[in-house]
Amino acid sequence: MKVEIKNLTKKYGKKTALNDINVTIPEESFTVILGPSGSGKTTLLRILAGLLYPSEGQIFFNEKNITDIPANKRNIAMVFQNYPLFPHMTVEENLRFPLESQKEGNLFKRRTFTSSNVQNKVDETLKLFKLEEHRNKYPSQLSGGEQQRVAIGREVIRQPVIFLFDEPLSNIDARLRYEMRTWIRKLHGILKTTMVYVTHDQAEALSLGDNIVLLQDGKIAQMGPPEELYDEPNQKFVAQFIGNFPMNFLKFKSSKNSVSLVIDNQILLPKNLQKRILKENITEGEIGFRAESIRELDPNKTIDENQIVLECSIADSEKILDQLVLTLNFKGENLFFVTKTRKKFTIGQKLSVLLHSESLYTFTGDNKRVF
Amino acid sequence: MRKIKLTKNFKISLLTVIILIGILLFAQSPSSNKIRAQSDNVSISDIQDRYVLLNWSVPDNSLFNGFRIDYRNETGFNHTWSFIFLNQSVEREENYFSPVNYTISDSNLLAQKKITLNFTVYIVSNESDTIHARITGLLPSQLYQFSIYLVNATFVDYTDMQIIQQVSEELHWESVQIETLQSQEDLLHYSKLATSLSLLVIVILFVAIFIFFARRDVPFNRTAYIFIFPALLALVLLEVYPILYGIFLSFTSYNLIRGEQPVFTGFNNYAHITENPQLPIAFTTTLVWSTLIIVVKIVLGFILAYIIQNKVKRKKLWYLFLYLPWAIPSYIKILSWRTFFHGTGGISFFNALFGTNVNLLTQPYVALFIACFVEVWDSIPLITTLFLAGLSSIPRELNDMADIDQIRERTKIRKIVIPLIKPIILPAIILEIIKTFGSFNVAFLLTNGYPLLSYGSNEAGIIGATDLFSTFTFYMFYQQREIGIAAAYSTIMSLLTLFFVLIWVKMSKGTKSSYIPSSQKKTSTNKYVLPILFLFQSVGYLASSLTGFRYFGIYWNDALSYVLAGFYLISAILIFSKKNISIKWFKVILIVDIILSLSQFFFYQMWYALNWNIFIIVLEFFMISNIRKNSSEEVEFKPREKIIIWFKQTRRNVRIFLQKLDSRIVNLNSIHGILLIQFTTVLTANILLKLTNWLPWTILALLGIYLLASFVSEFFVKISILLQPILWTGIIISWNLVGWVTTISLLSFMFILNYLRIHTQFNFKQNKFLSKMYEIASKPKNSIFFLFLVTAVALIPFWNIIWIAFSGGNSSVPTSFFPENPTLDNFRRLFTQESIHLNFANSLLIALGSASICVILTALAAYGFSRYTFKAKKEMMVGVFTLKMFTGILTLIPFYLIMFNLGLIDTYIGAILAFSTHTIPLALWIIKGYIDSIPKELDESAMIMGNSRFRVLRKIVLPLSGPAIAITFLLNFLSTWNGFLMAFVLLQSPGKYTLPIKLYTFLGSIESSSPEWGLFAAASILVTIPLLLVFVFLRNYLLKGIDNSVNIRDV
Repeated sequence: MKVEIKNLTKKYGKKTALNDINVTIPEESFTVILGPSGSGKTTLLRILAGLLYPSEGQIFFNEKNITDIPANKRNIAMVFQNYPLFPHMTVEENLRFPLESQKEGNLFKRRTFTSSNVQNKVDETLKLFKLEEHRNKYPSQLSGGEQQRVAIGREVIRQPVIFLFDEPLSNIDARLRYEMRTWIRKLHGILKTTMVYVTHDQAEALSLGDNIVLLQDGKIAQMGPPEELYDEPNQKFVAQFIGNFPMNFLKFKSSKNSVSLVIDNQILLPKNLQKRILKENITEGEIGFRAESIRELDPNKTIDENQIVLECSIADSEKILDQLVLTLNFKGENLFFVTKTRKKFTIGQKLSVLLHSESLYTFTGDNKRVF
Repeated sequence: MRKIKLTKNFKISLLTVIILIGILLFAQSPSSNKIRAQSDNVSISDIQDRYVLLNWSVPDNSLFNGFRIDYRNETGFNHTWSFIFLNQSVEREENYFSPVNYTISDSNLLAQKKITLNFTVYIVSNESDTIHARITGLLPSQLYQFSIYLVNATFVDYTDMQIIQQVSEELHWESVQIETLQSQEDLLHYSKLATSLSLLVIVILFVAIFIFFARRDVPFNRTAYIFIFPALLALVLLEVYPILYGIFLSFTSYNLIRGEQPVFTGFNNYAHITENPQLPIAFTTTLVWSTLIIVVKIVLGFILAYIIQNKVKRKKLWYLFLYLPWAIPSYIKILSWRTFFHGTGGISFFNALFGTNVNLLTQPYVALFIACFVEVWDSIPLITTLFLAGLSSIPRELNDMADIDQIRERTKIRKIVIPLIKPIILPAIILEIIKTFGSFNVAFLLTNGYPLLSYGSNEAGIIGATDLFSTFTFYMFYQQREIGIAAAYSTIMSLLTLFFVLIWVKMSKGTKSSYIPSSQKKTSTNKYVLPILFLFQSVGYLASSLTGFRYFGIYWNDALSYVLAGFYLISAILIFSKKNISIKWFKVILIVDIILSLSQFFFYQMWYALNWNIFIIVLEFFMISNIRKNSSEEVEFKPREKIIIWFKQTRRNVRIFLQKLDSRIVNLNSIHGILLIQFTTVLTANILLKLTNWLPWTILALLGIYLLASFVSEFFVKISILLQPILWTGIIISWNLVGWVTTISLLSFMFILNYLRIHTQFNFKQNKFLSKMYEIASKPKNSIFFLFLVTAVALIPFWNIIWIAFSGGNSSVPTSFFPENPTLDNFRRLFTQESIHLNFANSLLIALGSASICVILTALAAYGFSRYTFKAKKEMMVGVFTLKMFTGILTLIPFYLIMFNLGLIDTYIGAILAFSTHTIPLALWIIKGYIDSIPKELDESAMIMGNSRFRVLRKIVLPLSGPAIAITFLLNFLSTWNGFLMAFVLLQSPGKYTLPIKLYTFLGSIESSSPEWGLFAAASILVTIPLLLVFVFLRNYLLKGIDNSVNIRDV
């Protein structure tokens, strides 16, 4: 089902949680709403679910305006962060409950499912989710992963038109989280329903979503497939937020015919970049580069005019398994540098690094990316 | 679109206002008592609905010996009302209220009534000038014609009775046709109509308001209004409407005995009240009463809770002891204390136990103290439970940390425990204050206001020493039936209650009741309150010295009043002008004032001069100390500095002198404290029990000498350890009565143990034997003794009751530990003679009905309040909470009248309605808290699955909030099952009495001469056992309901 959100605004008193959101979620897609805490992503999801009423704007499911329709009539499913299973029902009863709740008609409501039908479905789901031996246990007797599986199974069994996930994995420990992540991806493959997934964990977002909506302070920062967000961030915030390590930034300043760094105006930017900046008449801004795109200077190779060399010293080095994370001190600025080299570095050692213009992002003074 | 809606609503409200006014006008039906017939010597002096008053002078005619009075109605049916005979030998008796009276030279005398076989005749003296006859037995709104015949008749003996035989007759007078008045019942139809119409209007208005608000809210919130509607409607109809009606009644003259209609009289009732000399006395009694009780309750409750929480090992056992008395209805507890102290006319168990011959309830001050004691004792389980809940919410880490940091216990309590539990239990304490202020049961059941005190010579100056505001109001309402005046009393009381609550909230600033987060500034309000208070004081003193009126009961001489007034005025101006001023000068004024007030208190009227002034001064003190804390803007000017320096020097000198003195005296330690306690214990016992025996006073003297000596000589302190056991054994032997032996053994045991402990600790650490003694002595803790003592005292009246019940007789004084010939005679009599099972059924019916209504309404509303955020939610919650204050005696009168007008007096429905709403605020608090603790996501996921809110409530929330539902059900059930006042007023026929009323009828009030102790005791046991069982078995479940912080995942 296609979901359209038009001009959505939500205010809590004077505080604006969401400000004029316009999103279209394509059918059968796995859309992740990503953002730091307080960016309004859960609010957006709850409005989609019909648990909150927006201050302004409308929501359309397949061109049908459902803004005024309450949650119990939207036929959606939602998996919560703390997997709220009904503590007074066993696993089987928990799975049975959504089917028993579904009714049709307005005046004289009748059950959609017959009881044998319900039993079959429950058995099927128990099998699918490998919960058969826990059938008669109460939620408090299950482990976290099992509880979350029941919670998801409880939603799957109803065949909803949209799945909403509200940070479902943040209460689970790291190893299990990875397992559940692949499992959710598999589930999407099987069910092929539209899924909307809220998380603050970008690794989860990048691995799961085929469409990411990045929120910042109640506004959409950027929207698109994960690769696009990683490779082509449209502003400094996106570049900082997406990626394992925050992007490194250095300020630059342009004079009449050259562009140099603010820290050291001896160092000029790569030639092709200088041309473009001068062409666009950008007087000052920042260049950004990812920790992964830095190369160590190989003294045997010549330096291209599209490359620049930064002479730094090592401030800190951190070894995470095979990865080496170096914090470089470049004239007072800290730069992150990730390498897989086996070399040993000592703190305080001088190290020159090479940047290629292809891996440089240019941002204007107001944090917008130009190229 | 919205505009149209608005005007519509406006029209509706306008219409309702017009209707209301119409009803009010309609209700004020005219009552005219015009005299319509006149004759030369016979007159009709009064015409009522069911009687007519005739006066005539006796004619000088020797041909007859009596009168015959006839009347004829519209259909021409003639009826002889009665004969009146003239006789020489008639006993002259003064009375006003008989059908026939006669006058001889202006003195009104009663005719003698004589019953014969055919007529009831009246005999009057033949010297009488005029005869007044009240012709009764008429029907309302009918035409009658009356005639008086002069007759000559004789009595004829017939078997053992007499018959009147008429000899001759002559028509003396005949009236014109007279129409009797409309009956009072007819008149009541108007008020019935008015009441039901206004109720209807309220319902319609309320629905309109709700629809209006629901329309304006966002679509998802609209169901919230359905959830909260029933409970709020019930509260408005059964709580708010009575309050407003009560205020309306307080401006009317309305007496139920005289069968009047409410007539608007403005402030007449209030004027009447201010002239009543009983009022200030009742008021001060109430003030003394509530202050004493609140303080004792809070302190004792805290101590008990703290001990149980931190000091004792078997917590559950003590919990049980705590909850057991809670399960017993308070009216039984109170009446059993009456058994203990008062018995039958002073022959009480107390006297038997201690071998005294005093009736403590006949001594005014002691009676008040005992009433306070009983009230505290009655409510201590509840308050201790509240404190326990608060204490258990303190994180254990804090406690451990305090222990690790070696913080003293006192500091720990003051700096950690109290600040942490304050926000949790403050709302509960506010409720307790209001409850105490309006408390009725103890004063009514225990002493019924007695013993009487008299202030002044006339009847209006007599008032009971334990007459509280509430019992006083009740007396006005129930005995005098002065609805208007009683309503005015309760209105005043409501206002005072409100005032106290506001002050309390103000005083405990920075703390939160669970709804209102306060982020107010601290000093700004105080700065304005203080000068205004000062100004008031100043004006009051000035006025008192000018006019001689007693300002707050104080009348010192005029000059002093002028001085004080001046002082206060200057202080007020100083504070207003906001110059930097030294606060200490104000303190001096306040101290002078409080000394004056207190000296009044002691010299003039003893207790009852404890008045507002002291209260206000204390308030001012409090505010001043606050100001000083917040802003230290004191100007140091030189003369004061000099004084201070001089003061400091003298203080140092004194201290040096004392130190010198001290070096000559034994170091003070806890032993002296214990000795002092011993001394005072014996002293109070002696004074209180009026002991004249030489022995107790000798012992007292011994202890006193001992105490003095131990200050001086180390030697005495050392030998004291040997003397203590001997002394106490001596005391026990000398007072060999059961009561004394048990009390004193317990006390002496505690004393000696403590003695040993302190002694060995300080003096004999090196000695092996004594250090062993110390080990033994320090094992049992004082706190256990304390708990034990409290429990023992708590259980005495129960044992008394049990003894009486099984002893079979009707004596209230046990003579042995077990009844000698235990029988079930009393129980048998209860069922055969009194058929108490009917009362059980009544109680059960009413309690179940009311509890079900309450729980259903509250569960719905609590869900609405917990899960939605709609407009004015906070205000509504606070409003409901404040309604809790206006219960009991405050709404009794209007509620009674509403029920009366609706014809619901003496019906089960009326009683159920009366009890159902009273616990809604508390229940709402509990259930809402509990639902809040259920994760919101449970509801939300259930809703997303396609359940409507109602199904979510039914399937998910209600099953999970079982404990809270159970406890609220039980709360209401108990308050109904034990509810005395409302049932006492609303149920009038014995067949519909609930258990409390039935039990009360066995004993009657304190003046009653023939209390049925046996029946009462047996019935008490029957009533208590089911409650006890419920408490014991559902204890854990109910505790869960109270402790709403329980994690729902652990269920």
